[in-house]
Amino acid sequence: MSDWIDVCATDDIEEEDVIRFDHGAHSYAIYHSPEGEFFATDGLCTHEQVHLADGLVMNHIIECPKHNGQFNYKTGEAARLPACDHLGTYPVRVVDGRVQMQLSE
Amino acid sequence: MMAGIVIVGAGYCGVSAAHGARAAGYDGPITLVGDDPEWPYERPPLSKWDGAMPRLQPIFPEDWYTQNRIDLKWGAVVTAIDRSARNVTLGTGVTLPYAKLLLATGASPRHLPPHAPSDACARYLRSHADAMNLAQDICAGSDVVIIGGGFIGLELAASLSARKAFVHVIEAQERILARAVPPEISQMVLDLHKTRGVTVHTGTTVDAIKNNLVSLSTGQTVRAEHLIIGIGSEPNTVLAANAGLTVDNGIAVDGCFATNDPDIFAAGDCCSLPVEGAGRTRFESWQVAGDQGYRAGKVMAGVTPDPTPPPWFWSDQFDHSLQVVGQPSPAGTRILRPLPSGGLITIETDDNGTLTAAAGFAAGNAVGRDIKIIQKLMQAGVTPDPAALADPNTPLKTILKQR
Repeated sequence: MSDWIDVCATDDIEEEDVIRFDHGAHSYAIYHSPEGEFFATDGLCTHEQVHLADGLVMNHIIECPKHNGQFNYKTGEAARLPACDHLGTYPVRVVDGRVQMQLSE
Repeated sequence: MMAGIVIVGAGYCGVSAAHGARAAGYDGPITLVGDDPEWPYERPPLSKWDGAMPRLQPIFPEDWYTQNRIDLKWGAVVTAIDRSARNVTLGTGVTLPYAKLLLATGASPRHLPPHAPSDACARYLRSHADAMNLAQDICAGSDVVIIGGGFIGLELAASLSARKAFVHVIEAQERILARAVPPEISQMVLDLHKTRGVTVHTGTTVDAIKNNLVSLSTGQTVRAEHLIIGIGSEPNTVLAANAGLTVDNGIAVDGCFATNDPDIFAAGDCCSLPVEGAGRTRFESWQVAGDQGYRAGKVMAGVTPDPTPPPWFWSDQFDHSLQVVGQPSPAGTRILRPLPSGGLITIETDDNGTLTAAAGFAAGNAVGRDIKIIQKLMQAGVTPDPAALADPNTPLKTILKQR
């Protein structure tokens, strides 16, 4: 099991919003849902490698800023064309006001 | 063979129609016929080369067609429609019966008029093969003249100039992108091209082309080792017209994409829709092609689609992106929303303050989020405070949440 990685403070992401988080050679998108929960997905759209953190979060959907592909950020599921490949998702937890994510091995 | 849905044209519109029909629960046979020799691919990357060569990007992976039981006949031409027998004939002589037929035949590049100076060496861009030919022949140091300062011309100018070709763009109108965006955005796009080494001639027409030299109406002569024409497109309507379907600025359809034959539909670049006050209108864009195809697929499956969202469009030029929602009119009232990044969003309203259109241009993807929120505000029909729209410190999402 890999370690938990510190991402940001819980109040660094507004509710129903997203930020970009780069770690190692990868980019991730970290979401704060309207219910106050946090989620993490791959940071780049599966369609054309655009940073999803520049996109719009509405409810549990992230919409890519480029071609309007949509994903459910809780499950990673592609929800509208042109996106057809799902996003990877990662476990997230909150410890002492800090958002942490876990990378798969 | 049981007659099902037959779709003529396997571009984004035709493929989206197959998708829409299956999404609506249609279980019968779907046959998709496309004349391009390549597996169905996206056209937008053909003019936007972010690397050395244009990319061939499939619309869907191959297994999608199998999983959705789409019988894809690519590299096949439909030569005729027999409306009384309800079948189409392929170039091979084979006939395919249909219960519902969708024409998603697209458009072809508009050619220079026949009386124009010789266009023997003129190139056009529509297919992946066209893009590959351009990319193979034009290299660093090539002298390129592009006639037409619309999206295709400017995107190619950016792609070719990034490969260190010397590019001149000739535009007859007084500003580039005059039909598509307001003057403020045209100016920003023009400035970017100038900064990156593209020479743009506005308010200029071509007098003659001889011995690789293009004589301009300004008296200037520019060298054209390669001449590219990007002056718009014409809908592909021959198949429809030969079958006696009504053609009026495209294959004439109603709001549900039906032609004058209730079993034949048309969508995408090849069709025209009635628009109040504007007559029969063609909406030529990737998003509209996909959206119309998807909806037409649903209609053929017997399902009434949701209301159409405002048309949306994007373009990439150099490292900048442009997005448009609605149909900007140069005469409309405009609110200017400068972006902290140096970009700009222009927002148009009608006399009641309802949002009608917006355009944005900035480095990277800085306009995407705001344009999407404006599209939602347009659909909601709200009348936000113009001062808030103009203030970059007021997030547009706040306005969306307040309504």
